[in-house]
Amino acid sequence: MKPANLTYGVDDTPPLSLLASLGLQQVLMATAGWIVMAAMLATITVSPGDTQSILRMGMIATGLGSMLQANRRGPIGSGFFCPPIIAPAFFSTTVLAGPFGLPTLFGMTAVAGVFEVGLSRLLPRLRMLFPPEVIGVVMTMVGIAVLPAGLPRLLADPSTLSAGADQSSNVVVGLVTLAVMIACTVWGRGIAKLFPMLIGIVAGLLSAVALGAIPHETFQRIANAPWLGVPHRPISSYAFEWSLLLPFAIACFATSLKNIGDLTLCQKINDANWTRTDMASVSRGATAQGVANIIGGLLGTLSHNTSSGNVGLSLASGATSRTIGYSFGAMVVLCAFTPKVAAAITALPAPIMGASVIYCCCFMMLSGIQLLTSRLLDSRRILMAGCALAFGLSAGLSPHLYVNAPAFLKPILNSPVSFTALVAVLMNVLLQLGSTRRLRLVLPAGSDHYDAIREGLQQFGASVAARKETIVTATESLHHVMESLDTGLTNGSVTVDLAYDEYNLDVDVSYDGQPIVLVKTRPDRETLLNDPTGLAQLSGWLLGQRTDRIRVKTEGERCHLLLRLAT
Amino acid sequence: MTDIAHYQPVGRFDATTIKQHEAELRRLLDAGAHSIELDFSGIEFLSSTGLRVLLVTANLTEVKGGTLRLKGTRPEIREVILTVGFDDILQLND
Repeated sequence: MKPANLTYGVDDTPPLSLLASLGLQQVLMATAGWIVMAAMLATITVSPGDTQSILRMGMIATGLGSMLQANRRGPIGSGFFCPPIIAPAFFSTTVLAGPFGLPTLFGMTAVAGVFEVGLSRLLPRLRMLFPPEVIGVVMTMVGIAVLPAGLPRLLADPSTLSAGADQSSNVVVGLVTLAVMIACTVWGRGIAKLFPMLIGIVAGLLSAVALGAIPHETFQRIANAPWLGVPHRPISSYAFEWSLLLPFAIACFATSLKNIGDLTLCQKINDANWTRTDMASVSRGATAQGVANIIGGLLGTLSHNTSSGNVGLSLASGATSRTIGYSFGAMVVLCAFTPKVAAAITALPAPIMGASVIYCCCFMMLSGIQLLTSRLLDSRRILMAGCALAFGLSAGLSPHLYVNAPAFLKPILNSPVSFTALVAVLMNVLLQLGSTRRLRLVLPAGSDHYDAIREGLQQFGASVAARKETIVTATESLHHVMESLDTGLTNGSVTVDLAYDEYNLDVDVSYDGQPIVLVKTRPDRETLLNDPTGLAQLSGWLLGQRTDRIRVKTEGERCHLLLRLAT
Repeated sequence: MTDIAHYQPVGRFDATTIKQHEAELRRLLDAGAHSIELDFSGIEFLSSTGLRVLLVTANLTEVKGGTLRLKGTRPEIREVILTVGFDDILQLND
């Protein structure tokens, strides 16, 4: 079911007039990725001409990747708007591959894409490793991890500004941009609500021009760029290097973890009734990402992964339609063929970029926290979440801690999201040792069981990290059952067996006596008021409505009432 | 006695507590109330026994030309009332 906060959900198609603007808004967000790519290339010896070619090939890979991801037919594509941008997890592999030359760098990028496709096909079998509480932690970190890219730009850190730029006027530009984005989201209606970032960027640009925060050379660079130009591949051959295989494979694993987080976020923001990750959809999405990277490597650009910022923006603007994935893709490919537009986009002042990133971070972080807190958490899971966030944050806050780590581990240790995901998965598995997913309650005859049922189920729910709603419904259902049994259906004790797995909470209520009457239609007013069995009928009918499956079984004197609730 | 009587039950509205609530509702009706407003903000569980008492009370107020109103119901209690379709026989206020 489409959430109320979305104007255009994943299956909706915005009018053509809006598609271009929604696509452009997303293109502006993706700009951050191209800036990162330029920064990564600056760390290895690449000529300015090759850098331009790699950037423009990266745009084509991003565009095609977005279209592949939006596809929902066949084995490739999740069907969500979840475009790719440059993957920082491949930063250390880029540095490692740099000395071998560009043919090796791009050859290994394509090989990494093949590895990613292989890994993606295994994901459905790894579902047990990614319960909602683990995904919630990873999604939270997806938002937090983008902050270091946004905050220094928003607050005009000198390292993000061109030489001689005035810091105070740039801070004003950043804050004006963010304030307008927030105002459009909170108080905006119609167009303002759909394009908060675009309007914020325009406001930021106007304030930047008014305050003289855009250097004259920037205008000159845009003016000098040609309108049309066919991008060319920076290489004519590819090479393979065995020694780079392991680092690239580990980087693939790191980006796959991030892909899972982003694609799960896509599922969650598009379904008001979302309860768990659809790993089959994630698998198709990860396959699309792998194929995009194979194409990218062959075109001559660096590895990409799903863009948390763009997904966050789609949530913020209430437009998550997969059609935007196609319009965005087409526009990005067009940018690769129009150097002037590409130059203008990449010339956006840093504070405006920073404000855009921070704006999207807000939605991404909170989405993860909401998912995490929707579960009942016991000490095992609190420790899992806390440690995963602590180690993940350490990668961003204190990267020097890992400078002496083996090079092949650096793609994970240098990526807060991947590090968080790895720690969360490992701790979740390890801390489950000795825990039980079953509970038996024996309720003696003739006493009030209300508190015993409530406390028992609360503790059990926390130990298995069940959804709060599931435990509340199970608790209420058991109260209804016990009240029915107290009408004379049993005189002895009642045994309640609970079994929890990733799909269902099964409740078996057994006792010696008579079975509970289950009716398919609600007893009418007359029956409830005058028929002695009316109350029992209402209770049985209500149980059927509150649970996903209900049935009665008798074994001699022993009666079983079997309830099933989806988890 | 005013035409609308107010009552705020607390805790559970089920078989174990219903006698006390039922007695209070009877007393209010016997004292001349035509309508009753129940502040349900303190109710944490509503069972089928409780539902039946609501139905009986709604019937009695209806006979007197009044209504039974519930206010402050928690979401889970409200869901039960809506599930059984009792929003037809009593007024659910926020």
